[in-house]
Amino acid sequence: MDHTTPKKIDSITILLWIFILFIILVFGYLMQVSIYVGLHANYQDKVNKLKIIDKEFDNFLLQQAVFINYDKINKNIFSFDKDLKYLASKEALKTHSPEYSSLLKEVKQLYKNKLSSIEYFKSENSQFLYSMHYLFDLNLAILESKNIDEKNKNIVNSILLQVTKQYINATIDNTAILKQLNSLNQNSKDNDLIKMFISHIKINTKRIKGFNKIKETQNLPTLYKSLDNLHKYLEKDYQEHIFIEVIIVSLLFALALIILLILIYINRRAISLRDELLGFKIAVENSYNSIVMTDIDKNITYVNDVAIYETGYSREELIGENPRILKSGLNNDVFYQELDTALAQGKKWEGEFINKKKDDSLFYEKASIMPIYQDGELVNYLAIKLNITDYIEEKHKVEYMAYHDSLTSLPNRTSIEAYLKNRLPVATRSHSKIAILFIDLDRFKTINDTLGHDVGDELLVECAKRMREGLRDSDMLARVGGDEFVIIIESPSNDYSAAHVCEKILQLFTQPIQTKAHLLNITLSIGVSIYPDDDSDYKQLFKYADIAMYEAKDAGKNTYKYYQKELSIEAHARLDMEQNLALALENSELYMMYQPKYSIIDKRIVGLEALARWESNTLGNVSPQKFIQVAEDTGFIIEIGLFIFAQSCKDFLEFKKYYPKLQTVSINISAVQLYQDSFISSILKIIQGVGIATSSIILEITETHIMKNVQQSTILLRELRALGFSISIDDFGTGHSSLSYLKLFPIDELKIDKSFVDDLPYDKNDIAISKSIITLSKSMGYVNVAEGIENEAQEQFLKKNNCSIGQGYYFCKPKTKDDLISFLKEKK
Amino acid sequence: MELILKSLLLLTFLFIFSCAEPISPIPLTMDVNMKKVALGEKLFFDTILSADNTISCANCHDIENGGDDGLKFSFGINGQEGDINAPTVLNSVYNFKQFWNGRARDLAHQAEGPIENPIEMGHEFNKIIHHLKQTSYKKEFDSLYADGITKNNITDAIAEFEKTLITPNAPFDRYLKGNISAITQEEKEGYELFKSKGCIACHHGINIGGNLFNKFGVMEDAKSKRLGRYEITKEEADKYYFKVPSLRNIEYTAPYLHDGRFDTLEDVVKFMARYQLGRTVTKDEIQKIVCFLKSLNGEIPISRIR
Repeated sequence: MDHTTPKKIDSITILLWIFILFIILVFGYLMQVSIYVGLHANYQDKVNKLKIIDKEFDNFLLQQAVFINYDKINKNIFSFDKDLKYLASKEALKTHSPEYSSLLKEVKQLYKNKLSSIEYFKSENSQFLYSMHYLFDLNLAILESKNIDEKNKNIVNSILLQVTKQYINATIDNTAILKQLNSLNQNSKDNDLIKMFISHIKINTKRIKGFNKIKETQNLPTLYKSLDNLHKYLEKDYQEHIFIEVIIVSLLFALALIILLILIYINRRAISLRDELLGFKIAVENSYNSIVMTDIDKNITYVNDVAIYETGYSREELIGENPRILKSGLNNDVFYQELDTALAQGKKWEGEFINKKKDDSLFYEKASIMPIYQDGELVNYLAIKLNITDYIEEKHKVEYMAYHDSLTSLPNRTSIEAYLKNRLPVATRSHSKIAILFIDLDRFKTINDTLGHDVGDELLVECAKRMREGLRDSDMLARVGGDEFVIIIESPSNDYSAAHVCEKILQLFTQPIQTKAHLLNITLSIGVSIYPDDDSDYKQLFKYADIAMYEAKDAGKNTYKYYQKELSIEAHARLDMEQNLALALENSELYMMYQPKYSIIDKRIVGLEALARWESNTLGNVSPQKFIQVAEDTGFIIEIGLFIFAQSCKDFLEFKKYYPKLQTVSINISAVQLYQDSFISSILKIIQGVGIATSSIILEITETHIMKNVQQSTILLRELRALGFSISIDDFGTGHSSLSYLKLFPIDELKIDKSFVDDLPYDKNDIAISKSIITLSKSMGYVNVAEGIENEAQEQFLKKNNCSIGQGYYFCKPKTKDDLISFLKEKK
Repeated sequence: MELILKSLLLLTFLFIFSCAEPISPIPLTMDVNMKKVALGEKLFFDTILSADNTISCANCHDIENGGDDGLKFSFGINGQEGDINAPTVLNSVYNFKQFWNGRARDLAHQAEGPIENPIEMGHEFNKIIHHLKQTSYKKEFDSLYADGITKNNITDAIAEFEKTLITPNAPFDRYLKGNISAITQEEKEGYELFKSKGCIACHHGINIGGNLFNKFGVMEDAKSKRLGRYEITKEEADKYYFKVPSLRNIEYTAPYLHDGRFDTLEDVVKFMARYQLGRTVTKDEIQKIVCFLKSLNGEIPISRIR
């Protein structure tokens, strides 16, 4: 836009106003001129009228001896007076020069003279008229009179004729007439008629002189000339005046024309500018870009059609609004702050918006926003935007494609490698492990070759789906090769979680896969590597998993192998055990054995420790060390524990029949059981059901188990204690406990761990430890039991050191229920 | 030869006479501003215009009785007697000038004269204007004239009223209009004599006079005290030139002539014939002429009569 346009607009307005003012002035002036012209015409007209009347006067004065009705000439005089008065008025004198008034004066004077001539003429004419009339009558009377002689009659005739001639032709001399008159007078003095005749003739001759004089003066048309001079003067004056007026008006018109031309020129320029802008306008209108203009308050003043199309709003809805109506909320506040800052500094800003259409759908816009200045003042903001949603979506797609397998839409190798790389440090920080499972479809190549690539693809898609469904959301599944997949499992709860997953997946694939045309049986080979156990480098971990996978293949496929062989074995064994343990209760593979606790001093049996034993149909005899741990890990311990508890209580009551002095039965409790919500209510139920007193039961918990959650342990133990149970800490000294906790826990019995007893009485450390434990127990008021007494020497030592109760092979091995009954009978 | 010449001239004279009637009848209507007329009428009858509040225009110009006062000379304020016979106000609008010596160019101009003439109404316009401003006249004047009560406006109103004092429908006027039986034979004959004797030469037109000056005493010295036009122009030639008076309503405007020397029409006619026309007139002729003169009385509009 032309920066000078605003100024031009102002000057155009001014020019227009000047022009209008001008036209008004011109018209005002023209009105004045027309008034002047009218006035002048008036004056001229009057002068003309005067001229005409003057001619009338002349005509009047030329009449000879006729009867004239003076009303007419009086009217003319009256008219002349009026017109002359008008010409001599103040306004008339004002509008003309002094020459005018002097001319008028002349006219007035000459008119005055003429008037007196006229007045004189009037009376003379009247008198002459009736005199002449009478003279003719007299002439007749004289001619007919008998008293007058012929001579006198002839003289009378002659005189009359001469007077008549004299009237018509002035040149005839008066003297002849007078002479004749004298002679007549002397001849007929006493005739009345003659006397009358003489007196009339005398007067008339004088009168004729007067008339002729008037005629003579009338030969100089002085009044007419004077009027004519006046007329000429007025004409001249008018012409001069008009000439000036014409010049002035011409000048004014020329000026007006100039202004008009300037305006036309400006208009032309404006049109050409407009045409130029039209081009831009079309460009803007037809651009692929959204173009939005706002005023300085950021209210939209213009949107092109594309903007309307892109945003889904109508033009009316957009105009006047702030562009923030497009905010989707997906650009953060900092983003907008930066935009505002840039604009405020007068800079152009470029960026990408995530904006919202009217129908709330989102779209991406790449925008260029800039402030527009005119003459140093901010006038508009202009935004040129391009909808890049498609591009962004394409980009996303490409990105996606870069990181995903196109067939199965699973993450690809690149993706999973990057993922794993990122997760390793996280796992390190939280001291957790990551398991990498490398999966290969067995004999895939064969299927692909025989049934075709399409079927192969279908198969892969189905496998991917099946695997994905079988996994948790937090587990990553990727396709890394033709028929190779990877699963990343984070923070597995134990080393065997990966094995679980492998088992699960293998299980999933026992079901054949249905493609369009085939029902296919597929098996997988899975290799497992563990971070950080196997390596800390993600690439290595993949390699190891791959190797493990080949191991699995070598092992006969449809199986899984850990990278660490032992782990493989262990895992398998472990899983075996788990599976079997799950069914152990059902299959009544679990049974109880009991080992008596005896008083070291008098060898009296004070209690029994209940020990669980598992005779698996498939695995054979499984030691409690193994299966209890598995039970705790899997949670089977709850059920098993309750079985143990119930069975122990029942059996105790029976034992008591044979040995009434039996005080307690010690039942091992794991932390898993203890922390379980329904544990206490469950055992109470059993106690009630069995009919045993809580005071008969000692709950044995290992030191390490209690230490897992000190607070919770304290509360629960106190609760149990309150219910009447006794609490015994097993394997005391082997875990991480501080003596201060000892205070907290409600303990009744402390069991010295076997490891301390084994080397008694020879190992110095063991001696010290055992001694101190016994002392501690004594001072705290605990009963202490020494475990694993296997010989006399140990017993003696313990006896010497005041250990109250003992337990071990030396006294009695754990026995089955029946065997123990026999033993009890014996002992009695 | 002479006979041909004479008869030719005579014919010429006669021809002129027989062309258009030298006397025209008075029209029935006059174009006037009625409001001004009303005001003027008020003023005409108002003695406030005289210095001692005793004399109005109507005193000397009695509209009901011929338009003059029937006296030889009029009386002004303080019983002062004038030296000229009051002319009639009736039909005075048709006179080409006012006053015997024609010093006023129109009725308005004439009205100024008596008002300020010390021996007539003897007042001053300044005082009159001052007086009139205290009266209801102020409102009337203000409503008609932009400049209120001024000398010009007072006389203008009076003149406007006087314009309406025309006397149409005189028997002779009706005769002129075509009613042959409007006048008697004697009156017709009187008119013919009026013309043939030459009276018509000066007493003609719409007002049967009043349109020229003529010498008083053409044939002989008429022994007039007043000098007529000379009093105005100071020209020797203008001595004894007076305005020819109108003969309308002449029956009612005795005494006659500017010095009111005659009381009867017969005397005036005789005088006129001798001093003006210089010809003899018989008793019979006088009788007929007087009859004619009496047919010149027009109608005085009743509304004018107070």
